[in-house]
Amino acid sequence: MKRNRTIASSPVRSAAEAWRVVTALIADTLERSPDVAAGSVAGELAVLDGLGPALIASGHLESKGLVLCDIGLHVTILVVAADAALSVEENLNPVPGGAGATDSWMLHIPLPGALDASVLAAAARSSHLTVEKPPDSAPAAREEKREAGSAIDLEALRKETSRW
Amino acid sequence: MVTSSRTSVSTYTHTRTHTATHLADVILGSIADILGTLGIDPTRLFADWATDQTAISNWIAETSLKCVVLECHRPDRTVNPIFEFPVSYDPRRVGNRQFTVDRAAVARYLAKLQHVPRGTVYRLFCSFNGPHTPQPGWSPGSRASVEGMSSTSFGTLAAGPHAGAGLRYYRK
Repeated sequence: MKRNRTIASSPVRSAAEAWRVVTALIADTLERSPDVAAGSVAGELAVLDGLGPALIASGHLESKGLVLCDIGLHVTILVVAADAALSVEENLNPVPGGAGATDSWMLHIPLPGALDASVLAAAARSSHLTVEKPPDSAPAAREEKREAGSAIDLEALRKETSRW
Repeated sequence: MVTSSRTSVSTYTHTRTHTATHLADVILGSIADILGTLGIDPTRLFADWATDQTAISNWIAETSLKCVVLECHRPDRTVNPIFEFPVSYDPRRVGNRQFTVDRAAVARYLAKLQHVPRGTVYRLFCSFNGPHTPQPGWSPGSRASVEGMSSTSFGTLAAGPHAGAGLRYYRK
């Protein structure tokens, strides 16, 4: 299920404060999962310190937004400013789906043109940040092998024996 | 303010602080975009972001800030281009509860900027209408002259109920 969250920036709060709200929302969402270590999300997002507020203050997250994706999780986070910020109804609760997050979560960052080089450099410093186009919906869970637990690839064995 | 769980809807009384926050953000955001477009490393801007935002916002709130200046210092020691962000405090704006920013015009403006040589660095200056409160991270300095440079006025970049910020571009 695709979800959206919209955060208010100036004049309600500065871009730096809005970025702290965004990072807290992402961390609160993912760290509900037992597979995501407490404090690990903030560590990954630290490479965006300074750049995150700049993306907000420049208006680059007003229409495209960040997209947080994992199995069963697809949330677009927009940050708006000026008059639009005054009428935002914020929901800062952890996004549903986060409890099942894996250590493969990804944050898709839009390339904003003027700050492309900075975004690309930041994304290169974290395995959880990407500038690739986000998927259209939440990735599905990987299909479990039918014979889970077997040390033998039974499907391959069946194919092999069918030739006999 | 009405609060339910962590969902909230707020009614704001627009103060000078709101206007100052808005204008400081738009000015710094525009500077980031200008540096990125020109090909100047903005790493120091990002590192100093909170300090600079607080200083500019506080100076606008006390109506002392006259202008923020972005100078591009080339390896050949020339300073070109220069961007000025003049702040105007118009008492007629009081009561006009609208916060605006002209992002589309900024984008059109950025598209016209020319790259600067590799090794060009930037400096930020603030000029004042009079006495102002010292802010951490800022010290006295002398800005470069714009004499002999051609200039283009962008008009109003952003505005709030108590003040507005413009943009002027100087180039040789």
